[in-house]
Amino acid sequence: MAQGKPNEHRAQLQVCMSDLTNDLIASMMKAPSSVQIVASPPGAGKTKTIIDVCTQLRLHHKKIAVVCQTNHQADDFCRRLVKACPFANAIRFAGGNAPTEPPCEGCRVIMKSREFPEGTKIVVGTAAKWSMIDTCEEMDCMIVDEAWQMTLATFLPMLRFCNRFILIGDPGQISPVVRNDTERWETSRNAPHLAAPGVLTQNMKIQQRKLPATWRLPHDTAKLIQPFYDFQFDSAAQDGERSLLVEKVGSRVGYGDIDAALESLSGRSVASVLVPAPTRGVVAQRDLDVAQICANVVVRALERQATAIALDGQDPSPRRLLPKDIGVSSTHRVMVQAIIESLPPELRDVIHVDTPERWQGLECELMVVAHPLSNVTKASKFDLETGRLCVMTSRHRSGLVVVSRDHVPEMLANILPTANQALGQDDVFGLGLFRHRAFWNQLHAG
Amino acid sequence: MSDAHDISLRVRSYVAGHPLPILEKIPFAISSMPRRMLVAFIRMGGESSPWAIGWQIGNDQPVLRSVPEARNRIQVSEMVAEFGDALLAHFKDFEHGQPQLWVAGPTHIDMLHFLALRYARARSGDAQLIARLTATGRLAHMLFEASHNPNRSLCMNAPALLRQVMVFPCEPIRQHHLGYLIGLLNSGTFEQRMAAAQEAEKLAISTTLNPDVERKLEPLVSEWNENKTTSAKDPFEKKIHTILGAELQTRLHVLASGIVAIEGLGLATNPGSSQISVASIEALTRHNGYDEGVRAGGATISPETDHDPVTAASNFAGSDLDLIKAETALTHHDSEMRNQLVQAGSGFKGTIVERKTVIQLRSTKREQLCVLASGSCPLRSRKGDRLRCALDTDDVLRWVIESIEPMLTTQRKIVLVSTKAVVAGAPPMKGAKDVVFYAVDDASMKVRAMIKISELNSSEELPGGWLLDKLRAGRDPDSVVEKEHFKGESADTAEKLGLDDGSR
Amino acid sequence: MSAQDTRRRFEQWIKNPQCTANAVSAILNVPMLKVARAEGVTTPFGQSPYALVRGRKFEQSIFAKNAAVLREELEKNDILPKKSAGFADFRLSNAGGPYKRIEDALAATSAWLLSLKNKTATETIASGATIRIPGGVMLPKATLCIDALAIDFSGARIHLIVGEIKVYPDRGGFTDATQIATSRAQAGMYVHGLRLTVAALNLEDSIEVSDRGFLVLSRSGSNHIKLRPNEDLRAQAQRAQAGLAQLSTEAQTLQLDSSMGLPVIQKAATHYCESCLSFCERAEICHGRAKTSHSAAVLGDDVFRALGGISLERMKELMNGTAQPIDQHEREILELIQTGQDPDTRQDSPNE
Repeated sequence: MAQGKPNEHRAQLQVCMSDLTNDLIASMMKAPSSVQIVASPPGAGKTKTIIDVCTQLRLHHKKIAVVCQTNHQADDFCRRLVKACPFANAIRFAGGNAPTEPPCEGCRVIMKSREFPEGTKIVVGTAAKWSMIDTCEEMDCMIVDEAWQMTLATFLPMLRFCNRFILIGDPGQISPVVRNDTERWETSRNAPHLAAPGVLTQNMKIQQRKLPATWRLPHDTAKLIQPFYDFQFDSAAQDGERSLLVEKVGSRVGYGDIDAALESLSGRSVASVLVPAPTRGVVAQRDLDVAQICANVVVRALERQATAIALDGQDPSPRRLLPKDIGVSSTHRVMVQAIIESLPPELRDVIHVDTPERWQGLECELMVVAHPLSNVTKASKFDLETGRLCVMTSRHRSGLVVVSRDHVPEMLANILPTANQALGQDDVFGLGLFRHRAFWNQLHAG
Repeated sequence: MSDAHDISLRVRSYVAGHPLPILEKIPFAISSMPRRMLVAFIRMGGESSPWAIGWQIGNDQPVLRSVPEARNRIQVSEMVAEFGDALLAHFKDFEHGQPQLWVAGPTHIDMLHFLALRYARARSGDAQLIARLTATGRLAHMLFEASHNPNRSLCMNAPALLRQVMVFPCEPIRQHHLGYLIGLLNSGTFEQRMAAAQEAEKLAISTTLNPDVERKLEPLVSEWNENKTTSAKDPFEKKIHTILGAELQTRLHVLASGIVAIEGLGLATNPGSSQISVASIEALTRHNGYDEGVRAGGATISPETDHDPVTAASNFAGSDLDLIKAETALTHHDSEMRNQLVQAGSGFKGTIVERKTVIQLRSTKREQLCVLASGSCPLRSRKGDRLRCALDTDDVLRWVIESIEPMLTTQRKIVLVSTKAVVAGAPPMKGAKDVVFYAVDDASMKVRAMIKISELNSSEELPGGWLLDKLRAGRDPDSVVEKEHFKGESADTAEKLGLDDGSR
Repeated sequence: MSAQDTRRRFEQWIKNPQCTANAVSAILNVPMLKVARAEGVTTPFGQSPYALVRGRKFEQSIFAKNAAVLREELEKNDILPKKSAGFADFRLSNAGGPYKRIEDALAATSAWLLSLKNKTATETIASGATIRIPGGVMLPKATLCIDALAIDFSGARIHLIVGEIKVYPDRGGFTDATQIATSRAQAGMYVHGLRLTVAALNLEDSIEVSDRGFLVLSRSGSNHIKLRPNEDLRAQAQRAQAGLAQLSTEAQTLQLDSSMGLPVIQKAATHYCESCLSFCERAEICHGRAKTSHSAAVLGDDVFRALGGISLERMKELMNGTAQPIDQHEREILELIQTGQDPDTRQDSPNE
């Protein structure tokens, strides 16, 4: 934990980020060819870093390509770019599936690369779009956002248009989803199905840069998710600077644990609600009790007029939460549906409930999650992967409530892991087991 | 199929007392009898080379070959070369129908990979023998890859295919034994079927022998090794062959019964499987071209992996494309496949409550549908996604989701618009019930992706070429050169042979 | 008592730790084959004699000429520096080594570890290093014989890098996953045991056992080796530690001693599951019992877990309508089985 005054701490972090941005710009300006890889914890200012690099390079009359993973991310980036730099003349490079309307004023949509204007430009498109085009003028720099969600196979076609790259993303989150068999390439030096930054780092012995801190997450949440990463990071918010307060209202039968959890968010950003596991074993996938409790946490938070306080923010005054400020997540679609159905009808269209895959890139004030192992009695390698849990527990700015059946620690303690991953690959099962144990212990510490 | 669905089916089949179909139709075509080649391998414990190979083409008599000493590389290679000649001849002819190789289980599939690893890049030795062996290794590799490819019907693993079509009332681990599955498919009560299955399970049909059979062979092999002259060795060789031949016969017989069992399921063949057959023939044609290239001095594809980044990415994209093509071809003709997609959230089923023609940009006409869909299954689809309608006969037509509106808990109102003009009167019409819309990936996008990747090799000036060079640089970890010799080495005792190949 | 027995017995137990009979067999070292034969099982069992010979020959060829073959691979994979030297051989004579008795190999290994610290030993490869797991959790003794060690002297502390040798064919990504898991499990056991030994000899200041090890497999159809470096053994070492602790607790709970034998196993409770079919000679007997008692285990572990204790006979009654669900659990499971999906949506419910 950083010592010294909070504002000084944040100022130091800003300096670190600034230095990193300047280094990236320098490498794009000076090196004849370059690949820079930046690993980022959640909410660490990835997009801001990319925007800063873009705007600076643009001042030097560079042609910049920005690669996003989805249309939604590309549109969102355009909006943020134009907001930061209204004269950026951003181009949204769109494909057939993308909306034809520009995402915002100050940004135009182009569907064919031959229609790019001459000279300086910032062109934002999805990886699918960039990789499919037949021809394109050579760009001075290509920046890949959410790079750990992009496979090497998807990245390689970008080499047709550029010789300087910045790959920036979060290595702790969900890996690229692959449907076909990958056995043939598990021992390949250039495994096409693995995340591009990892393969490039290993093969080219690149020293990854790191964004130093999360600006989104409260201090103790940063510590909670640290085990999911193999590099250290800080939090801009210091201990006690973020909190969630709830009003005193009449008690409700059956809401004792929920009230206790919400009240504890005044002193720490993470709370847990445990549900006794049924004696005959847990229900697979669709756990209606846990779904109802998740919904009840949302309802109760609104009833008790939950208010977020961020002393490190631009506006430290308390802000009462609205339904749109609360999010819910579960790893299984059937649970997502069950949670939605458990909410009162007037909230179903307003509270965002979704799987972690759909939560990536989004944030909210208060997050309620159903623990991924809550309905698991015998954990598999898939269950123990921590990418989804990392996403679910890193969306919030003020508070996180984790709802779970209480058999999880015993189940984790009794697992004797099998290491049947392909030769040379990471021990996902074992690593996931360590990380889940660390997460659970930290969640319930003190 | 989801875990819940699989569990549900297995319990239901138990309660029913017999296996139940998972699919409406059989998702693969079975070639005509003359175009089928059945093969069985046997290997000595601890070895990966074959000890015996048996094959049967169509209704011809089975050919049974074995070597008395499985650790004698020369003998084994000659046996493999003979098998390879038959295999190559079988797959060279695809003008009389698509050739297929059938095996009785996954260990036989693995043996194809062993042959590929062992022989595809063999170098030293008698030139003619090497040519036969390397060609065999290359074809074995192609067939091994094909066995994992849903868009190929070249290499057929009988128990796996049965499991694709039927659910069996037993543990998954038992379902790799073809005899066990055939037993459960017998007519009769559940107890009678179980008894038949358990009896069949006692027969070893994998590539390894029962330990007592190997123990019976052990003294014979030792005697063969100890004796020096051919005449002295001969009787032991014959006894060994008798035992191994019988084992091969068992495996081939069970395999043939397995094919009969599949044909006897009474299910129609999915019409989409003809596209898979076409893809298989195309793959064979490409293989022949590759084979000729290697004979002319070209490089052999590694049976282990692709280290080159462009090759790996291209093949990976190709593998994804094959999966999409197979799914697209088969799903459209099988209601159970579509139901599984709906249950998994990759589609929905509903009633068409409205249909109208809408005019879009540049006066293009499109059909707009309003569907009242059941909300009981989770839905992954969202606005902008492209789905196929089960009633469409047009392969290219898709329906794009314009909006999804939850209504009551159990229903959703989904508006879709067509991607092209629809022929007047073509389904789905207003009022149609239980119409399924399901998600399919876009094969054309994948094709383009593959082309763009492969262009990386043909581009003369690639801005990012330096990065490719770096990825390609570095030591090839697989630099061990085969030091096998395939000519005239004297056969010695098993011990010495066992050490010969490892010593430097 | 061979050192392989310890590993084999531990792996036997871990394949089905819920089965008391299995635990007793592993702890008392009474092979389940013996029990099965006593109960009338005639199915042929046992390892292939050829596989055993091949495995031995393979290992011996690796360590011939002062481990020349292994050294070349270790240097090529940067586990040892170029021109490394020295080979310490602790194997027993039946494995091609110099020691006749396990006790001698044990003593020699301990002495060698001490001389590593004293810098009087400088070998960079060791074979057959023999250690004993303290505490004697498995009756009578738990001894381990480590296939291979690479010794790295380059750091502040001496690094011992564990290697496991198997004659399994390396097929890249297609290499049999169970075989790989077995190899790693055994390497993890070595890492754990070696750490205990280093601690017991008070050598932790000088010697560190690396979390990363290597596997030595064979190339298909030949005796050439394929070395796979950089295998993460942390979780496997912890698995060994936790597993041995669990086994120890079980042994104490069961109050076993070495005088006990077959009858104790026969009387012990069993727990049939799918993995039994791959290793236990009594599997079909237990399967028969599971069938008789209509246990869902006969349809697989996943079905057994999903039904949460409901028997197949009960499921039949529920599905045929001859019985009604007695609680919410039975209702949900019935719905799961009948619809093939998790229970259907509930009706609209008022806001509570």
